[in-house]
Amino acid sequence: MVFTPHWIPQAQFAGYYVALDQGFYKDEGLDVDIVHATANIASLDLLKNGEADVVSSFMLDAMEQRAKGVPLVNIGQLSQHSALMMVTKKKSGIDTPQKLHNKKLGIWSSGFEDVPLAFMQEHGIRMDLIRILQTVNLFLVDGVDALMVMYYNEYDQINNCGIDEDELNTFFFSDYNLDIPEDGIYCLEDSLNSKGDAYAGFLKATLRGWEYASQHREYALDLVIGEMDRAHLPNNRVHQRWMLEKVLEMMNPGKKKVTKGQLLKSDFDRAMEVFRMAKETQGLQTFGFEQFYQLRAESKK
Amino acid sequence: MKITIDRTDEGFLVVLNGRVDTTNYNEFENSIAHLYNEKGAAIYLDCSGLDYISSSGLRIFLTLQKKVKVQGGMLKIFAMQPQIKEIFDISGFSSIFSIYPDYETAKHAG
Amino acid sequence: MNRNRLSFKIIVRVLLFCFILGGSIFTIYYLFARKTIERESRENAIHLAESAVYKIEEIINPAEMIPNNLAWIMETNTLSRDSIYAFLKQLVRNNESVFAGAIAFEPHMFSEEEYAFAPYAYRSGEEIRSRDLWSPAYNYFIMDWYQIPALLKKPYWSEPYYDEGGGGVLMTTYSAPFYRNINNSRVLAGIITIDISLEWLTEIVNSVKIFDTGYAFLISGNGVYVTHPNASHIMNQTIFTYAKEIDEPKIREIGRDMISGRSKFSNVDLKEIGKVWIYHTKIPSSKWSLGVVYPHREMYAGLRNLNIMIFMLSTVALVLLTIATIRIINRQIGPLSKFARAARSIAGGDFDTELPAVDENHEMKELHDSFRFMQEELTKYIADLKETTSAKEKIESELRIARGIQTDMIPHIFPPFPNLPEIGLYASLESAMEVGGDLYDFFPIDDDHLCFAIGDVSGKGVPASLFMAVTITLIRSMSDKNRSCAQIVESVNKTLTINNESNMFVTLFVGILNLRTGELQYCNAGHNPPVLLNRNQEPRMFSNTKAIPVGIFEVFDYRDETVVLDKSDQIFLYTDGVTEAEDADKNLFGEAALIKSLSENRDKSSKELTDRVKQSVKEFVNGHTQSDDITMMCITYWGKNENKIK
Repeated sequence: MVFTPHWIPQAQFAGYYVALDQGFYKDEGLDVDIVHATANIASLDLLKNGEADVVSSFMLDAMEQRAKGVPLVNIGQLSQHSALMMVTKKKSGIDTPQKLHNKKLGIWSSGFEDVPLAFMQEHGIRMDLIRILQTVNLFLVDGVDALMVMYYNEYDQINNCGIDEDELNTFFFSDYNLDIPEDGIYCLEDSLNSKGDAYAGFLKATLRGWEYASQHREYALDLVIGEMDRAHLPNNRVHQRWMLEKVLEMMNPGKKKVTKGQLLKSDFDRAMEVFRMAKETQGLQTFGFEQFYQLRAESKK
Repeated sequence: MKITIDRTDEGFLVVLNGRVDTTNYNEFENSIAHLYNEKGAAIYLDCSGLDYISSSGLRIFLTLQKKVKVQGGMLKIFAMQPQIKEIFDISGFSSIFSIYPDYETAKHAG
Repeated sequence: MNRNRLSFKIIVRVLLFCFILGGSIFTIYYLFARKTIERESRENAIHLAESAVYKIEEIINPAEMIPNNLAWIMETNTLSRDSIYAFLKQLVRNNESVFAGAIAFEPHMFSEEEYAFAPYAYRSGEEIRSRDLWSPAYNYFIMDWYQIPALLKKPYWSEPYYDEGGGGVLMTTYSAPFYRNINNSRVLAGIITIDISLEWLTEIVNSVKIFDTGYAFLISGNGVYVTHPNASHIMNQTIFTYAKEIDEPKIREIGRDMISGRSKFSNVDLKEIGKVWIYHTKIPSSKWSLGVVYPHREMYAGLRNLNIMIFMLSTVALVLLTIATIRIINRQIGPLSKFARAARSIAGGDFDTELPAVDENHEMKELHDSFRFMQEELTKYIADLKETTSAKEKIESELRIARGIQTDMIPHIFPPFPNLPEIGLYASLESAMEVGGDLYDFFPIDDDHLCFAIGDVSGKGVPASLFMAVTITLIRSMSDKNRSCAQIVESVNKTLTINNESNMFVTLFVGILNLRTGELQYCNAGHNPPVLLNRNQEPRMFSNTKAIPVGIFEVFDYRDETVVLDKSDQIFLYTDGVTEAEDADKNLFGEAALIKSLSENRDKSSKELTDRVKQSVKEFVNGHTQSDDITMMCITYWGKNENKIK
């Protein structure tokens, strides 16, 4: 079984590494191979073309693909909360949504514009969306007024470049009724129908892996660092530790009445709402919660 | 014993204060010795302060009297205290010396 | 023991003083040395940093020139595709510091048809290759090296990165925007870049040597470690993640200072190498920052070693000083105890005690000389004293002999006339000194007449005693049965007056008593009038005489006087030593007291009466020194045919 995490190796995928290293997948009778996505090829693409059996993905991206006709299904929702946020520099004086009006917002070239677009509509503002390939540097040199960041990643990166937390204004989308779950596990509908047990097992092992990771964080970090070194990716423990911590936080249901691994219907509905606000949905398929979220099978093994 | 010697219009006024006895009669003699050589001097001896005199002291009075007489002068003693006068009386010296009750009387005497 | 204590005291004080002095000097030197080291280290740190920056700038500055020059060319010329490629290749070939160069155009800027064009020349082994960067997969418009200078409209040094194509070499890209005049407005035409390998930069920074554990490091504009002795930090850590990792907020502060371009000295504790100084300064062109790390331990290592050495040397020196001081002091003070011993033996009488030898030490020599002088003076003094004492003893022994002689002159056997029942007589004479000027005498002239005399020579002591001897001899020789008292007195007077330059005089009372009739003939020459004691009357004194003492005037009319004694009448004769006996307060016994004493004791025998009066006088004076001779004589006249009581 080929599993493709939807970005380059980092603590964001610690649970999977742990599950593999601890043999949880083996316990489920699965021989899992972790092959990461790259900057050029998205995990969903690999799922689409069959190179990956199971992938992780940002939920809104998966919904977009599903709307475009890719027969994928969500078999497990790991992240229950949104880690998306915007940051501005305190010295810019932009501390309310209104002040963001007509300002430049740096945003990843790979997407993630649904939520901010919905935000803009709901607050009646508009911003210039400036695509950035990878780094936070444009924001650091004041090339943009605001920047889209992941709380578990770029937010810490900015701090690690010397900007103190008290020098930033933060806009957590989860504070603005946009607490939309993010990372989840997806596979093709057909695969699920044919090999449901395997995927159930995959989810179970994965959840076990994440649980273990949260109990043995330094060990999980060791695995992460190992992965990153193998991929020749610059890394340091401090940043990965932050990432792991925040990712685990996202996975905690918190106030939401949902168990780990499950997707709340209300979350799905809200996501749908955002999706419709942000994207031109003409010509796209529609689908319901049950069609999208389809893990009910448990592993009996 | 204190002794002062002043020159006066009348001559010399010697004032004695204290005692003359065997311990200081030499000193007494030394103080007045220069009077032995005064020619024709009138020496008035004020004994109002003389409390006691021993035979040694009397001897010096005697010497003074004799020397003054030799030089042609005179010795007049006045204002003796009673006990001193008594000594002079007993020893008969009162008849040797010219003794007066006070300075005025001494000056006016012959 | 005393010597040891003194030298011990001195040594302790000297050592203490040395210790304090040494300690102060050492402290001052240490602080001064530290300051000096600090200052020099600081200067060295600054110097190292500045020179490294200078070397870096030497390479960067020319590199910066390239895109700037190129920008100008591009603005003023329109080059063909081929010429641009050729141009770029030449550029890379000519500049060895340049690894690659590119000219990336704004959309449709190079040609209307093409969306984007970015010719790129790069080294590949020995060759220079070229290609077009643009591809749908390589959207350079959203990459930092293009996007940032394009948006900011100014040149930009990129964060360091690993060049995949070039074999994992650390690189940085310098991008500069260039413009075109289109429709009379200056419009961004594209970005010119050159890629520079950071190997040489790493070499420069790593070659900075600071002792063993010190080092220099370089961070980028974001704080990413570009060079570091710990290779794992390079590109992985920023100075801020490092600060979090070792939990040292000071490092974060330093990092913020560095990326804001300040030059500063900071003091901080790095766990691996301890306390260090970090001096940082910016690289002017790229806004990266260079730090030099100066470990305190090594900085002060030399000083520490020096201190240890000084401490050991000092200890040795102190020990040597102690030993030397002890010996020197003992040598100098040694004589002191010898002097002490010499002093003791001199005090014991051995004036010739040998004094300890002293060499040219001034205080000791003074002591020695003083001792010697004292010795000599003592010897002389004792000799003088002996002489004086023996002279005095001689005089005293002669005086004693003289006393004996004088005593013999005066009759002193009592009762004197056992065969004369008519009278009882007792006399006593006590001299104030060994020999005196009082006299008494009595002797029978014939069977019926007793002659007696009492006298007082002026003064006392040896002069008076000589006169007394003469007088008493004269009285005896001048008295015979043919002479009256006055005649006797006259003779004595005449003889005494001749050759009497000293004007000595004698008060004298001479009496002749007719034993049968009781008639007393007497002559009083200036002497204290005796007291007559009669059974029936109060004691009364004889009247004062008008006659002067003998020895004054050669010719004087002395008169006899007479009185008749009844049976048992007593005459008491005395000298002024009785009436003028003094007590401690200079009160005189006085005639009244004498009369009283006599009155109380009449009817007693002559001896008893005399003794009683003597006792009264003794009680009166109460131990005060006797100032004058005390002489008394009592004659009791019994008459004929009376009882034989004497």
